[in-house]
Amino acid sequence: MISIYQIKKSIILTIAILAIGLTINAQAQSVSFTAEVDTNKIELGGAFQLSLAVSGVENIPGFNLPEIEGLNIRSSGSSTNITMINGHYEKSRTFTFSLFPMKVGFYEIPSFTAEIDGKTYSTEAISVEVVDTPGPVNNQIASSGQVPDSANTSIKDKLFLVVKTDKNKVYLGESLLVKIYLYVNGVSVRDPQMPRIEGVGFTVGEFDKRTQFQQIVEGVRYDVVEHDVFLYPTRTGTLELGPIKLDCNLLVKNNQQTNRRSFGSFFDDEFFEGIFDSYRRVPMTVESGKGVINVLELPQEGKPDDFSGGVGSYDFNVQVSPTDVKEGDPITLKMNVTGQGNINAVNFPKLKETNEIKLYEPQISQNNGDKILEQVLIPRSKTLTEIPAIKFSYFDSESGEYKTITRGPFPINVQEREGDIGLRIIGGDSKNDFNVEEELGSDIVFIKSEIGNVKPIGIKKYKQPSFYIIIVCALILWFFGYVYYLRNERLKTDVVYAKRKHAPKYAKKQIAKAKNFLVSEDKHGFYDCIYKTLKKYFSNKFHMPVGTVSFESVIDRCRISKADSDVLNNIKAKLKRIFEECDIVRYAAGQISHDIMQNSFEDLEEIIDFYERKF
Amino acid sequence: MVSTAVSQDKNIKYFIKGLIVLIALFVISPVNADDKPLARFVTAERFYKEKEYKKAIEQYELIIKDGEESGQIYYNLANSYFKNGNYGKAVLNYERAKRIMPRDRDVDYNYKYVLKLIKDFGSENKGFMIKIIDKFTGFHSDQELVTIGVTIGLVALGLYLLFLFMKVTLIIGKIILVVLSVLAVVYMGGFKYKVQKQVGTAVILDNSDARFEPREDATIHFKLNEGNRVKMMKFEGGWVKIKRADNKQGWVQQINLEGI
Repeated sequence: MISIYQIKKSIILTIAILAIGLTINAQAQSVSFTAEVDTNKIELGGAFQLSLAVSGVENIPGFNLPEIEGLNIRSSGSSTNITMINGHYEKSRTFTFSLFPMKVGFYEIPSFTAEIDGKTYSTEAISVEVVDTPGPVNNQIASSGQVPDSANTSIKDKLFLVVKTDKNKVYLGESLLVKIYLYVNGVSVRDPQMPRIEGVGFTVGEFDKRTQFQQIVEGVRYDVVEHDVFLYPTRTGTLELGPIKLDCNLLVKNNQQTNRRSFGSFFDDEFFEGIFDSYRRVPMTVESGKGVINVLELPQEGKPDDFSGGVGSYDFNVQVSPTDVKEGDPITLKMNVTGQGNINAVNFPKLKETNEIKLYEPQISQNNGDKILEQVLIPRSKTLTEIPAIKFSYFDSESGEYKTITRGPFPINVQEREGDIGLRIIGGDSKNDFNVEEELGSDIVFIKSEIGNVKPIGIKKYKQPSFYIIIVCALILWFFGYVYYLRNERLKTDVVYAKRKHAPKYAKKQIAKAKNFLVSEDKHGFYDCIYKTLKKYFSNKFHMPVGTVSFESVIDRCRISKADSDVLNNIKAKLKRIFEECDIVRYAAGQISHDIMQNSFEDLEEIIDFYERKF
Repeated sequence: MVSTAVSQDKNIKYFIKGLIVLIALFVISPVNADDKPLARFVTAERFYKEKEYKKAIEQYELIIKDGEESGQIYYNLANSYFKNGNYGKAVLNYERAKRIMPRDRDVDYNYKYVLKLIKDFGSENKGFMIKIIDKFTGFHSDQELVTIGVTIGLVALGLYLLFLFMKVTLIIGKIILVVLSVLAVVYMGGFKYKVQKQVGTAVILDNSDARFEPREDATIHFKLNEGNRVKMMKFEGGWVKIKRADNKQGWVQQINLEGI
């Protein structure tokens, strides 16, 4: 049986052991400072990792590596590890660095010392070998049959910049074409930036598009990336150009060591080589050498007064249109400068405003290698016969001489303008606002004080019916007048027609007279009248000589359709009787009574009517 | 009995005479219906002199709203609009004044003055003939053209008849007739042309956009400025298809313009 005393004792003992153990533990964690590389041998173009591990210290400060020649050192950060070994904790901090060798050869990473808690710790030195890249990329053996000396190969042989200029002597104002070539062999370049040009005394133009091609130099095939850019010197003298730098990233294979850490030693076997390759990007700056450019000043001798500032080789053209205008009409003058050189800085020759020419603001535009000036001018009078010649002077850098191109003069034909020159709006889409010089009073005319003829809105006289009525009436009147005229004319020219028209009128008159005779019982007078009436009537009506009129001759003239023959017979009978009575009254007037006369009178009327109607 | 009959006759006579006089007076006397336009006109003048242009505009517009117009009223209204800064309305009313008084120098001057201040779109180079026709029709009002044309025509007809009756066969007579006939035709033709040109013309009142279609979201074809004169071609749902002086066509909202 375990007594309470025993239990108490074992507890105290356990605690004591534990306590001792802990104190032992606390003292057991030792401080260490180690340096390690992930590989001792790499190919040129690769990078290796240096890890500095400090453990056993609570507060571990940061680390900065000193420079090592031939190695490009970049910090990759640090990590903290806490591991459990044999029952106690260990805390360590690892600083990793990426080292990128520039040359083939042996490198010695020196030992590093650190002071921790008053004590000095140091790492061991490490040797690393860097060898050249083998393989089909290198055609040297194939072409020259010689084994190259790869011992001296550096990264600079694999990745470098070549800079070429078209001339190393330029004039101030001239442009300098710089071609930058990036040669790449045996390394993988990613994210190449635009080249940076440093140097004082010139401005850098815009980069053209980059081009890529392949080139074999001394038996080695390179991938080449070309950038072209124009430089414009801003001062004279000897200018240093460069170095030109280009930033990019190199794609670097992760070494086996790293792989091992990531994936475990099982995959260390050669069998797995290549499958689990991973890459990381290492930033890199490629530099060119330096160059010297001589910038010359333009010679003062022979410099024309109207020098445009253009340096290079140019062509100059002028267009004037239209050339046939009225005074006050606009003419457009177009100047065109094309060529190689500092076209931006070229100044156009200025035209002079004279009494005969009025000038307006010119408009200058530029596209690619063309600079265009458009200017509107207006001839003020017809005495203007030509636009004077225009000169363009530039400095030809090749020949080293000033050259002048003259265009014109341009003959102009200005015609007189009758009337006022109203507002001329020159070009519907012109951006310029031209000042109008014509009679612009300072204000509008004042209002009128008379109200004038106030009429209702919308009432137009010519829309009123009365307007049309008047016109129509007038036309009708005229029409009647015309018809009257025609009738008169016919009456005058057409005798037969006239006579025939006259017949009834005469007859009517005579009948009235006959009536009088009838009333006064004048038999002789009556029949005389009737006889005369009939004869004259028929003479007129049928255009017969009066003397030939008799019953027979009249009947002869009548031809009527069968339908009317009854009526005609009736009339004939009556007519016959009247003629007979005219004869009877001569020698036997007593036989004729008043009634007979009355009857005959009525018959006469009837006859006249009938003939009027039917003929 | 006889005397009363006679006096009755007299009364009737007097009555008829009086009626005739009344009718004559009515026919002869000037038809001056309202004094209101004149009162407003004078008031407006006072406002204009005191530079109260908005009030002047109000007065003139009231006259017009009442349905009365005269060239002078339009001219004064246009002046007032101009002073007030509405170039579009100014041009509109100058156009109206011009239609009534085409040869008035003041209207012409002010009209040209305003046009210089707005961005007008030049018409395509019109032919020489068209320029002459425009000048001719611009010189006369439409009423004048038709009246003169008709009158000359009737005179020509009358002379013709006269020559017929009087047996005038001289060449000069014939020439006169031909000339008169041509003139009559020219004037009547000019009248037709002017009326056709005047119909459906409008003035843009605000700077606006002419679009390809009568919709707010249609693409803009070109811009129109206040004071531009356009011809209205078609109407659709609050939009008007207009033609500019350079023959470009587009749709504008109806509120942005006003017919002359």
